[in-house]
Amino acid sequence: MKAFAIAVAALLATGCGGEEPPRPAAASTTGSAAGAIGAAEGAVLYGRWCAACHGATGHGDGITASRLDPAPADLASGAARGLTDAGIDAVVAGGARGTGRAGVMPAFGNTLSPWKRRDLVTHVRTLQRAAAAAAAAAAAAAAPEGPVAPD
Amino acid sequence: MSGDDRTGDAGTSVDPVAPVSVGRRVLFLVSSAALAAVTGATVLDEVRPAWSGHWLDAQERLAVAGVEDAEGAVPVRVPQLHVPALGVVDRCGACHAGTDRPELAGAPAPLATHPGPMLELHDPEKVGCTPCHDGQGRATRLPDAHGSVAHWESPLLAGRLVQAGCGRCHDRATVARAPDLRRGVALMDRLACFGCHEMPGAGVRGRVGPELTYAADRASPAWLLAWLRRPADLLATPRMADFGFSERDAADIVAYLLSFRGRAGLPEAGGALESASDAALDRMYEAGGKTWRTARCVSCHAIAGTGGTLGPDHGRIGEKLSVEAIAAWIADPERFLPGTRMPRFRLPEGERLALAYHMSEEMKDPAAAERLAEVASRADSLLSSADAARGRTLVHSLGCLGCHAVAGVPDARPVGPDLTRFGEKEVGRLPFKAGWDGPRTREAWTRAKLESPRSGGETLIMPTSPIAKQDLDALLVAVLSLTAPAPASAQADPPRPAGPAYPPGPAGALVRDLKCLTCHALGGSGGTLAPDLTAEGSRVQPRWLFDFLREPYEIRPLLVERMPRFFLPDAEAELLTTWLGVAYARDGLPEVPADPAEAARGETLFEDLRCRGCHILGERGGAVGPNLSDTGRRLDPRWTAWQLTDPARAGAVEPRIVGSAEDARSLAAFLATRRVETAAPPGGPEAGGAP
Repeated sequence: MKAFAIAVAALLATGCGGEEPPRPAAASTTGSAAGAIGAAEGAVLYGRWCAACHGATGHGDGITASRLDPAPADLASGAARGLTDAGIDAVVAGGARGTGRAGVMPAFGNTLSPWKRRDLVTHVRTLQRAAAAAAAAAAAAAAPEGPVAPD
Repeated sequence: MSGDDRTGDAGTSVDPVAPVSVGRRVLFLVSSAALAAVTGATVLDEVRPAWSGHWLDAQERLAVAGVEDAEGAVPVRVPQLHVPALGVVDRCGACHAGTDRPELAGAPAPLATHPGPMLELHDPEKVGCTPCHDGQGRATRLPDAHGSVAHWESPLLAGRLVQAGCGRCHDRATVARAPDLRRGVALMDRLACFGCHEMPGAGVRGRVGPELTYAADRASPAWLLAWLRRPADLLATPRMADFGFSERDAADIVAYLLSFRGRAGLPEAGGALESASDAALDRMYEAGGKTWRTARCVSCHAIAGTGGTLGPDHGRIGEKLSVEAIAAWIADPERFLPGTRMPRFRLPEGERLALAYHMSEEMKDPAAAERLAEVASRADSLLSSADAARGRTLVHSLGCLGCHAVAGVPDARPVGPDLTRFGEKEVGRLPFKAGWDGPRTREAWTRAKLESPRSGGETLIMPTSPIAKQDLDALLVAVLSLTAPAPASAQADPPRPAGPAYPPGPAGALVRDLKCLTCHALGGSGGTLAPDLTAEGSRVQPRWLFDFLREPYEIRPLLVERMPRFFLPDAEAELLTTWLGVAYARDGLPEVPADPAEAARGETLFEDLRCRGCHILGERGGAVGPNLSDTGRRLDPRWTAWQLTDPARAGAVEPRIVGSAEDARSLAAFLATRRVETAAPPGGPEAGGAP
């Protein structure tokens, strides 16, 4: 009989607790999935429109970079790190002419929609994080080579 | 227990006049309280359902954000999108209260704004939610709404899987902002899933690998044995999957293939070179290497991973084919693989043999020779006891004919299940293996199948291909996207022809022989690797085209895939030039007068618009687009002016930077003045050859 009472209590508990059912993991990752899709699309767009000059890793060392004067900007570890997202977007949309910069970068404002440019900015940020991580790893690897503390 | 030692059984024999026990009173009270609580909770849930809490939360956040129309009121009815044309009744907005509220971009789920540009591109009032996302649109409670409940056959496409939904209305191979779907569709094509499974947008069954009738004439029994056992032993990235053949299986199949020996009519292996002196062989090796480079074979065939990807990697072709077999293939590829993408090069027989000799000597892995020799030493004993009839059964039952043709066998029926609607296949009909302890979903089953195709039972025959983790995710998206097109959808999946549509007539036959449509599109059919030729007659000047067809040179310095040199005779080059000029010209192009003032204006624009960032003109410029130094000889200025106003319409990787038709005309007039006044065109046929 007590067992039955416990069962009723349990039913009661689940009935009342039903207000906040456990949420499947998928619901909370929807945002990051959209971000990941945008980032992947940004990488594709970057490869198609940017990499020849700015390089696959964004260091301004693309396959045709040596032919250009001034050289393409280092997006991963250069001044682009200091630009806001809107600032990078303005350069992509307006090119060298639209933003009054030196260089031969054409304007992509009529070619790439604002959303495509946003995906590109996302990818540029990814490149910057990768470059920073690589620099930190290099610094960490170089550290033991430095002066050793005296005994 | 000690206070109430009567069990349930004992209760049935209680004396009816005995006083009611304490236990029964407690039970009655507890039951009554439970009933009252459940009734109360139900009433409360109807008056204030769980989803209304999300609305309150959203209203509060909007009020904090200072949005004026945020009244703080909870709707008394469930917010619902009703799209009769699609049969959609979606109440997702009950919890996802901020989907169309940009102010809630950073809010936690389920209140956040719909991420990405999708709501701008798809009006939710016209499309709803579930046509893309799946789930149970009418439900307003988790997990019912997400469809993660028994017997709901289309649960929410969670995370990146949502891209599978794009394929219901859009062309799965090209749809924007679904990178995994596009990649997965391309992978399915490369893995030739269509060889064994019926599916939309597939290639031609039986035309993926070479004709098996000639296999034993072209490759040695030892090579065939080793290849069947483990293709990855002989090629780093084999297109053929690993069927897990035992040594006996392989021997039986090779015995079956050997029964066709002699059909190809090839000269005896080594016969053609038998009488050649060492010095003559050296000369052949050199000449063959030169032909390999001038014909630009590397545009399609990589060598150990470096080069184009249209054709197979030829880094180890010398181990597979004899010199005679290579030469015979080059002479007529269609004979060994009907519908192949490889053109028929117009090489004289001597040059063909030299090229074949060069490939056979150069393109092999010395380390593999030992392993092949080891297999060869056992081949005779293996084959002497092999059963060709069993080999025939294996070839016909395991799906080999999905990719390879065998003479006399009509179009093979696919050996695998039809995947045309796999994305909506009932989960209950998926053969989950015994002891399956994961979630019983279509996604989980498919992932397990792709990871380990034969783990589900002894009788399964699906072969394995090495698939990287991210490729597997993309494949999963592509497989789950195989559903019926959305009803009444405006953008139905465009029919994709199995092969390019070649034009009729002698010129069309020549275009087919040279496989122009492997790379170029013509009249809406063909490849996208090279410029669309539909307006070629207006695009380039006839004299230039004739010269280029005979001796192509480097126009776009960065490309790996370049126009091959077919060694065309003058008559054929002239036929193509005339035909393109007549049949593929475009009317209504703007006139571009040869006016020096106009040209001067164009020169200023050229620098101003940063054209030099991508184009070389004279000495300087980026090497992304075509070298424009010889435009005056190459392009028709009227076409240039037309193209510049919208480069995307010809599929060019070129930003639209020219603002007006007037600017485009000036630029065209300027470029028409640029010529390279030398006997040879810039670059020359030898420039930038193969490694």
